[in-house]
Amino acid sequence: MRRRHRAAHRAIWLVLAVLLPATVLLALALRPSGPVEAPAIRLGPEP
Amino acid sequence: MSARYVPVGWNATKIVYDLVLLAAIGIYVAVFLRLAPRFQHVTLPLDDYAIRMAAFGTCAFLLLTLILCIGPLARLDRRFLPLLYNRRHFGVLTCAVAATHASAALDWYFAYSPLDPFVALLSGNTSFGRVHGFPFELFGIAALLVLLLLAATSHDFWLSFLTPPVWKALHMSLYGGYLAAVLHVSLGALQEARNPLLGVVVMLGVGVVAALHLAAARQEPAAAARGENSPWLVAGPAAAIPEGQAIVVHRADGEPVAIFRYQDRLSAVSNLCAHQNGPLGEGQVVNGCITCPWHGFQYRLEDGCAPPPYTEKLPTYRLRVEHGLVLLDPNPNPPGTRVEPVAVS
Repeated sequence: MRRRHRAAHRAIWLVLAVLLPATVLLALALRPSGPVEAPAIRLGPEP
Repeated sequence: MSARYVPVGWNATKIVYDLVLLAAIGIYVAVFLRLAPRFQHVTLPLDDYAIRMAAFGTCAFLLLTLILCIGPLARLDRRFLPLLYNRRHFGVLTCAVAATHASAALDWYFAYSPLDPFVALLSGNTSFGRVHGFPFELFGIAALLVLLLLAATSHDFWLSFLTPPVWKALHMSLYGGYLAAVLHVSLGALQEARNPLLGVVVMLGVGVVAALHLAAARQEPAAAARGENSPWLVAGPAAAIPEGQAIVVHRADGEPVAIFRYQDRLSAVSNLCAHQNGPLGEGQVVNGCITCPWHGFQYRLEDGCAPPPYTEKLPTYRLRVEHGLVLLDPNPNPPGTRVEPVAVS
């Protein structure tokens, strides 16, 4: 039982070791470049 | 024998462990709340609610990453074993921090929504077709549900009730929860982050967790070949076993084992009395013999044999004490096998 548990554990982490960094890298790569929001508009004079 | 409900059995080690964790969380959140406003982007200033949400969110992610490092670290180096003990309290605290983050997020995003916050959360964003703006909240909900399930079933009662194989399989869902948390952060905060620090921390976190698990998995066959990887179970700190009494731990197949302390030496036998399977671990050592609480059957600590003229015998187990923690070899010796009791110190 314990051996089966360890084998499942190993298989899961082989997949996650690829999936987790790939997810983060892909998300970083697909980030929108350039400004996505207009700068805040100042309606009054500098305090 | 029944699966009796016993509230958390506090001992000095658990209290210190939890106090250190609570202090670390408190310090992290306080420092984050103080420093974050200095790093916010000039075009997108954050208010107190958003900073609080980020403080608890990053804290929960870091705690989750640390929890996942403990297992492989303890397998790679036994000096990390004390971290493994009480890891369940670590998990429950992480769940509480994550729930605080979720509560702050609900307050922040949906405070003025005409809909119920939970309805608004689930129906407010349906942009499933794009990365930037993807409803990342759903991954956060999934991760939080996993944490809540694991926290709710972390008590020994559930370990006993569900049996160790089912409980272990259930608690492996933490890996899915971590994947959901990484997706939540990657598609949410990471898309909006102006500061590269968050990206570096997340990448470093997942890299370290994955590398440690792979290293531990790679070491196992070699260690097994050298005979070093016998699956010793961490039974808890020796100091937690009261003199003349026992703690009960379960082998991976659910079989209970009683570890007794008598005159500062430890002995382990099957928890099931040879008479009627009475719970020996709930009994005491009387006149140097384990005494069953049901009918008073007695067994010697060193070999599990009933004193003459009786002939009952119990399987015995090997023990080790390392860094104050009791380790149990889950492979039972034949009933009546002599095992020299182990000194606590």
